Amino acid sequence: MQDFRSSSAKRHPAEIALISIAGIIVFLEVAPFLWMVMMSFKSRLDIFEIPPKFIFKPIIANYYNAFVEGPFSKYLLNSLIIDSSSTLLAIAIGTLAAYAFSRFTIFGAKHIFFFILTTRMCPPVVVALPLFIMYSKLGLYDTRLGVILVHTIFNLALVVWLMRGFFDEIPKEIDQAAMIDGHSDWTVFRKFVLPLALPGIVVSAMFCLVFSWNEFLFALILTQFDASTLPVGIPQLVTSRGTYWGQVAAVGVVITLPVLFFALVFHKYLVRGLTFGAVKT
Amino acid sequence: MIKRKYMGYVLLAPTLSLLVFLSIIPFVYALILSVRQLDLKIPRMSGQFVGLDNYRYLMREDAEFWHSMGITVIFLIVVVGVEFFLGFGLAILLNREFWGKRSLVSLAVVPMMIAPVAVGLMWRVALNYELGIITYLIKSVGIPLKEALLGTTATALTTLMIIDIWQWTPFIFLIMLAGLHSLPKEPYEAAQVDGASRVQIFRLVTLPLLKPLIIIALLLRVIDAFKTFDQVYILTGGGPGNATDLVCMFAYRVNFKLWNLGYGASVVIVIFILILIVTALFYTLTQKKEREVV
Repeated sequence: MQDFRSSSAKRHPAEIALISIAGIIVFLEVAPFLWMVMMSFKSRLDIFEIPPKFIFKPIIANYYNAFVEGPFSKYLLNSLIIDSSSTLLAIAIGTLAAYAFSRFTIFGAKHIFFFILTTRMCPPVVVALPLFIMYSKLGLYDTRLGVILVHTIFNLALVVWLMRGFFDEIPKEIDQAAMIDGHSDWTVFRKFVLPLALPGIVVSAMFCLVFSWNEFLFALILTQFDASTLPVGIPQLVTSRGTYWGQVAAVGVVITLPVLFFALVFHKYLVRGLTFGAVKT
Repeated sequence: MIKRKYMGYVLLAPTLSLLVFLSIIPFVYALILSVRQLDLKIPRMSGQFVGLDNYRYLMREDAEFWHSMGITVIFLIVVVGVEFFLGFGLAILLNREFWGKRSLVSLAVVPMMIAPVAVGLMWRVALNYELGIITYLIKSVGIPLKEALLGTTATALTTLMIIDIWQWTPFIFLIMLAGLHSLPKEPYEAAQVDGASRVQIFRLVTLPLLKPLIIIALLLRVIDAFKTFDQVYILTGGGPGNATDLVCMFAYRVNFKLWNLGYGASVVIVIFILILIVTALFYTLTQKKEREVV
């Protein structure tokens, strides 16, 4: 495998062919998204045109109808509030837990660490119904707070697992030196370790933002209207009188764009985040 | 001033209390429900204790559940298998430097980062019988299509698989590419000195070195594919008939459409146990190999 890398100066035709194949595959990966973007600017008539039109008069009516006339500005606001709050909460308490796993002795640490992972791996549908009943009784049903809490839980495992890895990479000698200087545990954490772990926190936070932004099932069953997020709103555009395809595409574009930005900027850390820190890059 | 001995527990307390409230309590609740008969469609049902009856019925008699498990297993094997070969192959292809590589890789990972709901919608649009571009393309190459691909029992599950493969091949690709990049040079130099062929080098050097990584990637994919719900909900709702009734969709239907809570709880507990086994494998592997993996 390695010899390819060094000999990149002169290219075999075969190699060019291989890269073209890869290019085509990548194109197929993004084509549906491009199609959706195009569709979001089409009028209802243009959408139904067969054969599909590639040149048309772009309109913004779909965005207007969904976000100004329709309820999607509300859903967008809910999404933003729920996303940022649950991320802050998950980072705040998850980072503490990760530090505990990295630096302190905890009875049964291995089991607790495993338990935390199961809360993430477990399909949401497993706890969905009990949560639904609990939320109804506690008055948390269809509230932003309710969704924030459940998204926090959903992301906690990821934060704990990722941040533990980042803390483990910070030499323990730094803590020890600071302790010898007479600082308390809390000061050591806040003043010496935390600044060094900042890149890890940013990466974890980004992943939390994406997962909460995309999360569907919990938001679907725990909200009705007041606290609904963008993903939950979309299926409402599929009505018995027909589907508002243009608006579906417009909302789809709005949901996708921030994540796209994230994927491009945090490219370097994608593998680490997606494997719960198991693969460090 | 908190004693050092207790500091770890203090730091862990907020996380654990939140998890107890929103994970353990609901889970125990599900456990309790699963040994009761509680169907919200039947009035005045108090949820009497029925022992393991729900589980017994689920395991022995519920053909729908077994159908759903069956297609979930087929779905798992096909999508994870194809994704692995495609993703690994693509990683090997692109494991070299060339102009525009970074942007190509960044673009390739787009499908798995965007909301599953948005993915579902994109494909729903593309596969729509009247206006979908894919329907149009299939027809224009001369293949007759009488019904929408997702609306036909024969093609619905395959179509879902193709969508999953489209969405998640980049995941394997990305991980394997990272793995290939991180391989040490020495074994390759040694193998070349020994006159090993390219195939031999791949089989005897690359594969063993990447093995832990491959297993991690596969386990994560298995867990995620098993959880597939959003796309099914958006694209088919489990239909037509129950052709795409993957197990999480089945559990959702029993709980939130049929409101058969006792029985539904036993379904989710079984799902939980299955996921627990795979998660335990993942855990053992990552903890043991932590320092060795890449």
